[in-house]
Amino acid sequence: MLYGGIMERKKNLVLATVAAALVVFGGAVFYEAGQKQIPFQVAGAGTLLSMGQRSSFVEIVLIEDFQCRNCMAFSHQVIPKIQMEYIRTGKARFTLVPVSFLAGSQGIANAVMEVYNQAPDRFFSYLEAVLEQYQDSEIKTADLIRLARRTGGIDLAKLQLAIERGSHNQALEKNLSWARGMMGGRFKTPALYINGAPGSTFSFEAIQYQIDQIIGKR
Amino acid sequence: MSWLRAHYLYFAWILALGGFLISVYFGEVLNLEPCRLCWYQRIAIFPLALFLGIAAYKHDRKIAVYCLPLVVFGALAAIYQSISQLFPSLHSAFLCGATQCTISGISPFLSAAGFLAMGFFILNTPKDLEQY
Repeated sequence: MLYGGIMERKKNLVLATVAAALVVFGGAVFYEAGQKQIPFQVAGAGTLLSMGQRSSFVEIVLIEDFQCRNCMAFSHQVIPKIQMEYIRTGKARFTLVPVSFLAGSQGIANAVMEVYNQAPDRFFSYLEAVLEQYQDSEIKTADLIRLARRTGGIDLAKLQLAIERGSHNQALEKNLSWARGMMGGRFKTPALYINGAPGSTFSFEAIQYQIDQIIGKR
Repeated sequence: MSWLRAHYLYFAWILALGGFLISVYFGEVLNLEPCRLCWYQRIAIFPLALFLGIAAYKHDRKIAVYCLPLVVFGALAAIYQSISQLFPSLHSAFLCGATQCTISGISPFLSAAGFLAMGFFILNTPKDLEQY
């Protein structure tokens, strides 16, 4: 009798829990649906590393941290293809927004931003060299300088100073607070936006599909 | 204490149900793409939310045989994900895939703790309820 009573109470408890879970989940979905979507604008970010024509119909924005291995793997796979397929052909403009929230990423971010400031035309070659190096091993200041020397056209003393002093740290902080504000609870890296809409960070083919849709509609 | 023990299967199911709902919320409502390790944990948690619910309803302790391998599988993925966050050099693209790093790095730790707690509850569920 007592056993039966316990079993009955437990069954009721399970059923009540299912009902409560459905109510809570439904409430969360409704709450999220009611949230105002913040329109995507890169204008609030600190420093943007942009390449390609301003008049391009497609704008690709990539937000990443240089110590995030997934960001580096993604960039290594995708950025050269974006450059070849869309930037050189004038179909799209590409903007990299470096952020720094992982330990050790500020040095690389400062180097990349400094190279962009000094010689925007060398930016992609330098970035590709950094990404290539990153696949094999951790990157130290000496590596960043060596890669800049190999790229050419960069004031190495200024670059070293920028890395050591963290000349672009303020801009990085501004980028991070912009990215956090824009993504809210969904903050993640790498994050990709194509004309303000979230893009896939899985493959170049998925990005290509999204861009083709935009160009096709046009 | 005995009341708590009598509800161990229920607690295990609550953890699985919570994990399942949070995972669905992040994936389908917030549209966050799960990384590969998150997918491994999802593979474990989705059936657990169902099996443990039925087991808690019927107080069927035999379910442990079916649930424990899933719990161990999910726990291993979560523990590896947690450790690779603490020591990035252990991060393997083969295991982790090429998706996002999130700033809120506490979730793999919570997931690992959840799977371990589930394992504890399942293993310590009393065989019958008559003594309670």
